[in-house]
Parts: sequence; structure tokens; C-alpha cells
Amino acid sequence: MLNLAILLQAESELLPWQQSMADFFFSDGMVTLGTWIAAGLTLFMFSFVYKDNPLFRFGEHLYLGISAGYLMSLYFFNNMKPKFFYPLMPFLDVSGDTTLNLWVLIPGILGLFIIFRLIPGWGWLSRITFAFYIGGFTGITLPKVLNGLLLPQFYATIDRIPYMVTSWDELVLLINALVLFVGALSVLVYFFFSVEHRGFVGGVSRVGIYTLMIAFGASFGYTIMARVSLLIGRMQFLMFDWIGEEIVGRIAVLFHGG
Amino acid sequence: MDKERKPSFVERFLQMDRRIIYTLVALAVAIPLLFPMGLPIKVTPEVRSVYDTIENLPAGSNILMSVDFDPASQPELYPMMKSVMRHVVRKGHKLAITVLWPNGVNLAAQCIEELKLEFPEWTNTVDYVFLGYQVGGAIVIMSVGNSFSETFPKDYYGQSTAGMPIIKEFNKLGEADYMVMFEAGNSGDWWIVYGTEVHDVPVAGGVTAVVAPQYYPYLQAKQLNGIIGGLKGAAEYEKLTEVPALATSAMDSQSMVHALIFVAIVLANIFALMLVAEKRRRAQEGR
Repeated sequence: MLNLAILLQAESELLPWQQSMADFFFSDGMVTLGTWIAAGLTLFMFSFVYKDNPLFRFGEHLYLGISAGYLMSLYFFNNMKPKFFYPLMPFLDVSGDTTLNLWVLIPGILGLFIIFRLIPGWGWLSRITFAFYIGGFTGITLPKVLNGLLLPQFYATIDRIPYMVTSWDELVLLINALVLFVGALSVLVYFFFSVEHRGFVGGVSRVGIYTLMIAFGASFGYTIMARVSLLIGRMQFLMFDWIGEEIVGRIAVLFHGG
Repeated sequence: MDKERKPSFVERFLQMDRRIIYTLVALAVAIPLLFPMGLPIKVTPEVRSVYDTIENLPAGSNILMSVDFDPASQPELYPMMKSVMRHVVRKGHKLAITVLWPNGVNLAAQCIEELKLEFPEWTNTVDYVFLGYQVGGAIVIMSVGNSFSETFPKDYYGQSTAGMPIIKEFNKLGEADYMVMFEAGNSGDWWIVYGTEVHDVPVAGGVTAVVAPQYYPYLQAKQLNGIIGGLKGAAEYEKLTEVPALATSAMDSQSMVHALIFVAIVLANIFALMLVAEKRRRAQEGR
């Protein structure tokens, strides 16, 4: 309870002991230590490419644990505290911006019902929350998805086909538009399973498969680019933040000079 | 008989220890970082479109940014976020920043702090407001369509947003002249469907390379005004703003690894075909 009371205190300015802690954690020594810990953990994770080992598992579990704890504290301080506890107990908000609002009890109770899934025999209560959530969200979403996603994408498939071709650019535009149109249509035919894929339908469906393969190839290429980018990011950290730009520069000069 | 046969060169190549490939990739990344080659970076139309839009807006225009990624995508998206944000600050636009991914809050805060060192006159609550993280995803987007100050009663620093000078002129999504979202997942779909399409706000996406193919149909349909895709897109934006930084320095490594992977795929396919031919020949000889 004491911990909860401390967490619920709204302090816009840091208390002296909190300020001291902040100064300590942001001191040069602690920043250097943080860099070393980050570098060590990066090497632990990289060690997996050799083979699975306890250091990799330690790093993996540490990351999961810290992420879960961080997210929990973030949800509490950003949402639970200002949007649930303060409206119920306005005296906790020292800024005085919050007024009593008992309506928050309704989402609060609905949220609590989800946790009841953990209690045998009480789990059925969570269905009320899910029914409310799914029903409400579907109602809000359907018209927006139709207007904002389905129809614009549908129009974009056909509205680029030029009526007249009078220049080289327009010819390229026509070819692009036809590739897009034929590609979209053939993929739709490929996923239409009510007709047997033989004869003309089979041929169109085959074009759909090729279109999908090209799309997957492009996606694979982009994925490689993304993964390599992540590796480069870590290498930049290890080489420039951890080892140090100056030392790396000296090594480069050493090799460059022969 | 066949068990005693020594594996051929083709077989040995195809069964190469994967750690050799890892080592080659590591070298292809590290060597260009040590010895930059300065390979040319070509700016694509979709990146130029984002730059031109921000560049051509009159000073003081309202720009909304959404930081929807976490440290797992930091190497790709952080350089582009910083580059775009720097451009916005340099042009004197008003900036509101929201976060839909909880682990993105600190990245946005760090970016702001770094830019404040570059632009000391850039003032919180007047030139920019950092609204912080709010849980809810699509619901938050629908809510900012009505009001920033009601969706985010307090900013990241704990100040009340209602009375802020910037909020008096720029208090909802519909008042934005332009939006740039930085996406590592599908929150960008929500922004388009529930936000920018509803309020008719031009929007661009700064996206990771993994999700870039998912966003190109929006560009084709003109639902997106531009795309900055992956580290390459970030490097292009750095080139346009003439401030080369992390993304530019990474491009040589990126090109080297791509070349290595290209060669590896071609060689592996050639050797696989050779293996098929070898097996066929051996079968014919044994017949």
C-alpha cells in the first residue's frame, strides 16, 4: 500500500532525493557504465550466431524482463494514474487539474473483468468486456475502412489507365497501369476457390502466382535491407560509441598507412 | 560405395559452415565503416516529395509527427526522424509530436533534446509540443481528430497542454498542414484510415524497409504523399537536407552487404544446378 501511495503521488518537480538519484544516473561515469553494459549485452546476443549459449539466454531473458517492467510502469503512470486513480481520488493530483469523475468506474470494472479470466469459474465475465469492445470497435471501424482503405485502393487500380496515348511517357503509364490491373485481377482469381483452376481460369490464376512471387521477392529484398540496417546500427554503436571514434579512427589510419 | 566417395567441391560449397557467411557479412559491414568509400546516393521521387512538401510550406505551418516505433527499429527510423525533424525546425514550422508505441517515447525525447542543442531558440510549448505516449492506437487517432489537448491533457513533461500557445493554433489533426508518420508496423494504416483520409491531411510515411512494400500501395493510390523507406530513404533525406549523418555513413556498408548477398545467391543457385547435373551424370554412369 505504501508503494502504491508513493506511485500515486503527483510530483511535477523532483524531490531532493529524486534529484540526487537523477544526477547520479546521468553522471559521466554512469553513462560510460551504461555504454559498457549495452556493448556487453550486444556481444551476448551476437554470440548466438556461433551457437546457442547461456550468455545469449541471459541477454534474451533480461531484455524480456526489463521490457515488461518498463511497459507496465509506463501504462501505470501514463494511463492508470491520470485516467483512473486521479478522477476517483482527485486529492492525489497535487496539480489540482482533476475533478471527481465516477464514470471511469465503468471502463475500470470492464478492465477488471478481463483479469477475471485468471480465476476459475469467473472467466465468463471477461466475455462482457470483449463483446463490448469488439462490437463498438467494429461499428466504428467498418465505414472508415470502406471509405479510407478499400474504395481508394479499388479506384487506384483502375483510374490510372490513360484513355489516349500520345507520348512515350503516356505509353509507359499505360503499361504500368495494365500491369497493375492485370496483376491485381489475377491475384484475386488465384484466391477465388469456388471455381476449379483449369483452362482459362487456371491460366489467369498462374499469372496471379507469378505476380505474388514478384511481390514476395520485393518484400524479401526489403527485409534483407532492414536486417542489414539493424546490424549496421549495432556495429556503429560498438565501433563509435563503445570502442570510441578516436580509437577506430587511429586503427583506420594505421591500416590505411600500411 | 557412394558413402565412401569424398564430397565434390560443389557439395562442399553448398554445405559451407554458415559461420563463414556470418563472418563475411560482419567484415562487409565493418570495413566500409572504417574506410568509407562515399558511394553515390540517388534521391528517389518518393523521398523528394516529402522534402519538397516541407520545404515549400510557408513558415509557421502546422506539422504533426507520429513516432510509432521502438528501439528494435532505431537504426533505420531514428536517423530519418531526426533528419525530417531538423528540416521542420529549420523551416520554422510548428510541430506536434505524438507516440503510439510505448517504447518510442524515449527515442522521440532524445531526438528533441539533440535538436535543442542544435537550435537553442526552438521553444517548447511555442514552436513544438511533445504530447508523449497514449494507449489506444486507432482510438487515439480518432480522438486527436477532435482535440490534442483532450486526448493528451498533459504533455510528456507533465505540463497541461490546454493553455499552450502552440495548442491555441494547432489543436487537432484537421489543423495540420502536413503529417509525417514514422512506422515500424501497421499503425500507419490506422493513421491513414482513421485520421488523414477523414480530415483530408496530406501525409507521408517514414517506414522501415520490412514494412515499406505494405505502404507503397498507399503511394500509388495517392493516399500517401511520399515514402522514406528504410536506412536508404534516411540517407536520401540526409542528402537533401545537406546534413550527412548516421544513415549516410551506413550506406557503404549496406551496399557492400547487398553485393555480398547478391553474389552468394547467384553462386548458390549456380552450384545447386551443377549439383543436379552431377547427380544426373552419376546416376547415368551407375546405370
